[in-house]
Parts: sequence; structure tokens; C-alpha cells
Amino acid sequence: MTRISNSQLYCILVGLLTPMAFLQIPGLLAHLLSQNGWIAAFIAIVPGYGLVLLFNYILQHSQHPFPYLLIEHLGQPLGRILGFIYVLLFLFLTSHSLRLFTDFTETNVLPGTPISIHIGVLILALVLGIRAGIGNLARLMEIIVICGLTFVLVLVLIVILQQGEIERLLPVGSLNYNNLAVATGTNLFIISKLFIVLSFGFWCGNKDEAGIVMKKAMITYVLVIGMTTLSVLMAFGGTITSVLTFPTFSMVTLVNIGNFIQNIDIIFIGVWILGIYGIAVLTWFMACYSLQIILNLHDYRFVAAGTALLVGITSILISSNILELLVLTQVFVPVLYCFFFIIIPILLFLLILLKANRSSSLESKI
Amino acid sequence: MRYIKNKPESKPSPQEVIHTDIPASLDEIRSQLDTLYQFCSDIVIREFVFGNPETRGLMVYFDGLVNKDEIENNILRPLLLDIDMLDVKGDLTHRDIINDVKTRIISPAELKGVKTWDELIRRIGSGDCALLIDGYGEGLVAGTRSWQSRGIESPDNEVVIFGPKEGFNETLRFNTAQLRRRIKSSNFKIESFVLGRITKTDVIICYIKNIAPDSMVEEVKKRVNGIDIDGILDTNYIKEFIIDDNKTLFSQVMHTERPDRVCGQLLEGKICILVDGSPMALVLPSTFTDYITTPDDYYTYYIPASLLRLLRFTAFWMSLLLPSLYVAVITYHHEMIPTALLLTIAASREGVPFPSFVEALLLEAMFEMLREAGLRLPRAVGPAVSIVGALIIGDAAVRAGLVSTPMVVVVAATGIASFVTPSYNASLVVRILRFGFLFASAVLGFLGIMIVLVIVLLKMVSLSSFGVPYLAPLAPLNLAQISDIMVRRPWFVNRSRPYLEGMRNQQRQGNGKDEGG
Repeated sequence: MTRISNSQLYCILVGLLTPMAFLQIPGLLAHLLSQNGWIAAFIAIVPGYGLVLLFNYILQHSQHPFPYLLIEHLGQPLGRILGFIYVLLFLFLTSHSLRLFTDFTETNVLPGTPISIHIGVLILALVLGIRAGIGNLARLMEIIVICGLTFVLVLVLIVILQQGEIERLLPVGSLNYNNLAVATGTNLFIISKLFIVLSFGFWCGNKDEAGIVMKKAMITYVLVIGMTTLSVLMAFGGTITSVLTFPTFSMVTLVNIGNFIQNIDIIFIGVWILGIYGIAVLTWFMACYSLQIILNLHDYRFVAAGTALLVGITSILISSNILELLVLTQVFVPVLYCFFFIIIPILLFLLILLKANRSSSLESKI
Repeated sequence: MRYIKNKPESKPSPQEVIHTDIPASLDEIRSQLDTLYQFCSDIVIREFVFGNPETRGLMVYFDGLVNKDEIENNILRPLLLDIDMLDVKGDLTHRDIINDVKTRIISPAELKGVKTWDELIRRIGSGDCALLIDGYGEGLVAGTRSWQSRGIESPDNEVVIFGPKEGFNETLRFNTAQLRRRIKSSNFKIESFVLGRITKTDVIICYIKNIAPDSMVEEVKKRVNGIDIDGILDTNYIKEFIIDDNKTLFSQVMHTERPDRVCGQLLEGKICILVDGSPMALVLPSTFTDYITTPDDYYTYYIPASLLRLLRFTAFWMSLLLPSLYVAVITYHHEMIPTALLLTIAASREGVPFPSFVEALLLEAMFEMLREAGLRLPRAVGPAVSIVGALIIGDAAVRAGLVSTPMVVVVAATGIASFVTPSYNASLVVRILRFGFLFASAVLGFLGIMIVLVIVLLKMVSLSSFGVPYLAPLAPLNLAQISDIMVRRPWFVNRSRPYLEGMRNQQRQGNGKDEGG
């Protein structure tokens, strides 16, 4: 498998975590915690760090990349079956990201264009991406992340400077702790996507450094989401933000430079397309690569074209309208993240720990 | 049967002769020369007798390729006249004539013995003169090359404000001399190859040892040696054989006519290929950023040079995306335009019968035709055509209501921006891709543009030039080098060369070592 550098791994992880969350999470946090939403965004750094340690432990105590790692620790039938379930999960997540994005563009950018056209065009670009191979995808992610982070930084600064009022964050004290836990958990589900490091960590220059890269990616994510939530709340206030469907998008429409550069939402969507492309291509890549390992196929690249139809049809059939899709996104998808990217890794971690203890006690007996 | 018996003994064909050794007998040599150069009116074969005892000799060269004065003064005169004054007169035994002729009688600076017709033919085809002596299966080839050639002129396609004004010309040796004059180190290597089964073209590969990675030099030599074609007439013939990916628009090897630019690239560990008969040098490996930079950047103070480089980057993106962005905004995303401007554009578009996409396509196509016409027409006519074209597009078309004024402005601005791109190859790619973006913007607006951009980026990141990623140092990211791409890093901080895999000496300044020579 092609080697990737640590900076490429960082960009892959940031590219997977951030773009979708950038649109969704600030609104969710504001909905749960009103003007205190930003606190949950920053607090996520603590459990996020726990997840980093968890994934790093599994990574360092495994000999093979995911999904072969499942066979390594769980044995042949169970590991292979679970691996196949992960393939379906990644294909579902690819379809979900595509649908969420296309519904958004259909509503906000190109009303009237059928979503099948959007999905078809994106799938074409995605298949080309997977066929290009992981080395080239990693390079593409570098460009996407540099452009994306620069844009976000500029956007947040402009909004804070033009529209931001610190009073809108007050009062800080009235915090609903239940909602704080839910909001932090929601954020944590996104961070759990660091799970893919169990594959990518094996291909980076030095596996031992994958933990540091994960940490940096997680901190970047927290900062981006935290700053965005902060700027949205400073621009709209807690009450208005909590009723907006996509407050980040609304924030973009506020930008006005010299009464000439205005309504730059389309530029935002342009940059966002790159991010969504990154998410979809990485999850789809994981599905193809996992399928290659599970079914002992020759090359994952050829799986992309085969699964394209499946991804396309699933993303069309996944829901009948954007509201249904939002419910799916806020209820069903977090459960999937929680089970597959948090609970199963914790079980895997316990199993590895148990095995390590057993082998060390055996050694001491001998 | 009778016919077969009386059949005359057949003469060997030129193809058979060419692969044989030069015979000892002068009569046989003459006969084989006649076979080889039948119907070649420019060949000069001069037989003569020299020395005591008398020895027969023969001189062969091509008229127009040699310096006749040199042949007359340094070869013929010593053999025919001066030989009588030499002490060796009485000692010219049959056994050591050729050695004495070589070492004591004739006096050209460059002299080499050849034993095969193949080698002899190649040398006289390059402008050397061959001397053949009866009784010896060997010819002496004297370097007498001299022909009318274009002088050293300023390159038309790579004009600079500051810096050297010299360019390569069509004579290989002049070109290597220009490089050697600038890089005097003994580590500067110039290796020769002969390519082309019929043209026998001289090709050279030059590099600086210890700076250019050895593995890359070997790879270039391997690829060049692997070329088997009847003729090489320009460097592009070689380029198409040796590039990593030949199914792409993007040029993976840089063309330049400037010796100073080649030297700059050689100092960065790159390798240059020159071909006799072509003023274009190939520099490899080459990355995308090489097409945005110019030699001028390094001859101008770094602050204005950096600003100009930023301007060039902006112009590059403008020339690629401006028409498609305009079409996308006009067709799908009106809300982006301030109301006053939107009203102005709407007023000017009133009465235009075409959608903005067709309008842009027509104007772009017309502009490309004008540009091509301007290139191919004689210089006296070219500007006139451009003026007529500009008037037709800019004025008459607007008055006729075929196109709107803002579209003319957009296409004109795109045209100007495209001229800012210093490399013709890069500009060609941009011109072609622009149409792709235009179609995408007409179909899906900004979304389409971004999808095409992703596909183009994917192609670019997957390309490499001799193992160097095409988008380096942006992808894969190299923060140390990227600062010399977006802006021009001042010389006093430019301490290391751009990294190439296998480069042994990356230090440019400050290690106190003599680099050899």
C-alpha cells in the first residue's frame, strides 16, 4: 500500500471530521445549549482525547490495518462478518453524506435540478478519486484542507469583526448540564470518525506518531467547530441560532465587504463541496478497501465502480425529503457512530488488554 | 538456367555496407562510397596523392557543412605541399603513414580515428571531414564543422526585462558552450547520445553531478536510450517518449530557450536535454509551479518580484475560471451580484439573443481563432488582423446586439490574464480547460465548476515528473519550499535547494565547501 506522510494523515483526518460538522454542529449545539453552545464545542476536547488514546492503543497493539485487524483480534469468522458489516456501514455513510449535501444544494443552490443529477455527477468524481488511489487522495486532501481551513478562518474573522457582539454570549452561567452532556456527546460522535486511523495509521510514515497526528486533528476540529459556534452565536445570539436549520450557512450570508462582495454563500458552498467530496471519498474508500480485505479481492479500485450504483440508489432512497433526512442525521446516524466507532472499539480495546494481561501472566508463570 | 548463369554479381546495398568496417583498399572505399552516396549531389569526394613513396588518399565531406579554409590549410596543404619540408619525408614507410599523418602532418584541433562506415557517415553528416588512406581500414575524422546558422538572439517566447538576453539557437555546440560558460565546474556533465535511425541526431543530457540525483540521471539516460525512431527533429520528439504519463494535457517537462534558466534549474538538481537542430531545451523533472515562475523573478529585487508572482497566480486563476464564473453567476447565482451591478448587466444583456453560455462560447472561440491567426500570420499582417478582430468583437458585435458589453469585458480580461502566464504550454492547458469549466458552469453553475476543479486536481495530484509529484511542494505539502513558490524568497534566506529524492547536496549557501572543479 502507498505510504502517506504524517501531514497527509492529518489532512485526511481533519477532512473527514470537519466539513459536515461545520454545517450541522453549531446549530445542534445552539439548539441544546442556546448561547452556551460554544462551551460544549470546546469541552469535547476531553472525551475526544480519550478516544484518541483508545484508537492509538488499538493501533499500536495491532499488526494489520483495519479491517484485517478485526480478524487478527476476533478470529476468522467473527472478524470477517464484522468487517463486512463495516463495509455496509461505510457505504451507508457515503450515501448519507452525498444525500445530505445534494439535498442542501438542491434547496439552496440549484433549485429545480433533480438530486439524481447532483448525485450522478458527484459519484463520477468520487469513482475517479478512488481509482486514483490512496496516495493521490492523500495529496488531494492536503489541498482541500488547506483551502477549507483558510476559508473558515477568514470567514469566522470577518463575521466576528463585522457582526459579532460579545453580549450575545451572555449569560454564561445558566447551563443545562443534561443538555451539555448530550451536546458534548454529539460532538464526540463526530470525533469518533477518527476510527479510520486504524487503517490509515498503518500507511503513514511512522505508526508510532499516528497518535500525535490524531491529537492535532482532533484539536483542529474542536477549534474550528468551537470558533464557528462562537461566531454564529456572536452574530445571531442563542435564540435565533437555535431555530435556524443551518446557522453556519446563514452566517455566511451576513458577510458584506464594501457593499460589493456580498451573498458569498455560493463561494462557501464551493469550498464546502471540496470538503464533502473529501468525506464521501474517504468513507467510500474505506468501504472499498474493507471489501477488498474481507473478500480477498485483488484491488480495491475496481470495487468503486461496482458499488457506485449501490451508493447512488441508496442516497436517493435514503429519505423522501430533507426533514426526514435531518431526523435520520440527528437520530439514527449518531447511534451508528456510537455503536461502530465507539462501543466496538472499546470492546476491542478491552479484548486486547485482556489478551496482553493473559500473555504477560503466562510469561511470568513460565 | 541460362539467365541465372549469366546474372552479374550483385553489388551490396547501402544498408549492407553501412554495417561493415571500412575496407583497406581505396578502390573498394571509393566503390562503397559511391554506393552509399548515390544521388547525393552535396557530397564532395576528393582523391589525391601525397608523400614519397606516393600514397593515395581520399577526402570526403559535405558541401555547406564544413569550413573549407580549415580543410585546405590544416589538412590538404600539409599533406600535399608541406610534407616535403618535413623530416619525415624519407621515413614514410607503408606501416606508419596513418600514425604520422595523424600526429605530425595534419593539424586540425579535433581529430579522431573511425573504423566503421556507420560512425564515419554520422561524423561527416555532422560536418566533419573524413580522410581515408589507401591500405588502411581506418579513416581519420577531423572536426571541421561550420555552417550558416542563426546567431545568438534574444528568445522571442521568453522575454525578460532584466537579466541575460541570450537564447539558444539550432546548433547544439553553441548551446552547450552557453551552458559551459555559465557553469564552469568540472561537476557539470554533458553526456552525448545519437538518436534517430536515419537522422542520427546528436542529443545531450546535462546535469551537475552530486546535485542531480544519480538515480534520476540514470533513469533519464535509460529512457532516452530506449527511444527507437527514424528521426529526431526537435526536443518534443524526445519529450513524448520519456514523460511519465502521456495521456494528459499537462506538460511534465519544461521547455525553455534560455540558457540562464537552464542553468538555474541545473543548480536545483534538475536535468536538461538538448537536441541538435532545436533551440528548445527540455528541463526535467518539472512541476506545475515551474510554469508560473519566470527567470525574471530572480533578476528582480525580491519584494516586487514576489508581488508580481502573486499577480501571476491571480491571473492564472482568472484566465482559467473568469468566463465560467461569470456564466455561473449570470445563469444561476444572481444573488451574488450587487443590485446596481445586476441592473447594469441586465440592461446590457437586453436584446442579446443568446444565453450567456453561448455568448461566452462564441466570444472565446473567436478570441482563440484570432490568437492563432496572429501567431501564424506574417508579422506585418498579424497586428492588423488583431485590430480588425478586436474591433469586430469589441464594437461591431455589441452594436449588432449579438453579445453584451460585460461579456466582452470578461473575455478581454480573460485574454489579458492568459497572456500573463509565462509558459506557452501552461497557457495552452488553461485555454483548453477553460472550455471544460465553461460547459460545467452552464450545466450546474458553481457546483459544476467545483466538480470539474476536483477532477482536474485529481489528475494533477496523480501526475509525476520522473517521480516528483506534479503539484509539489503544495501536495505533498512541503512548508519549507512552499514559501519560494507563492512569493520569491530572497537570496539571502534561500539556503537550500528544493528537495529531490536522492539529492546529495542540498546546501546552497554557507557550508563553505567548494563544489568541485
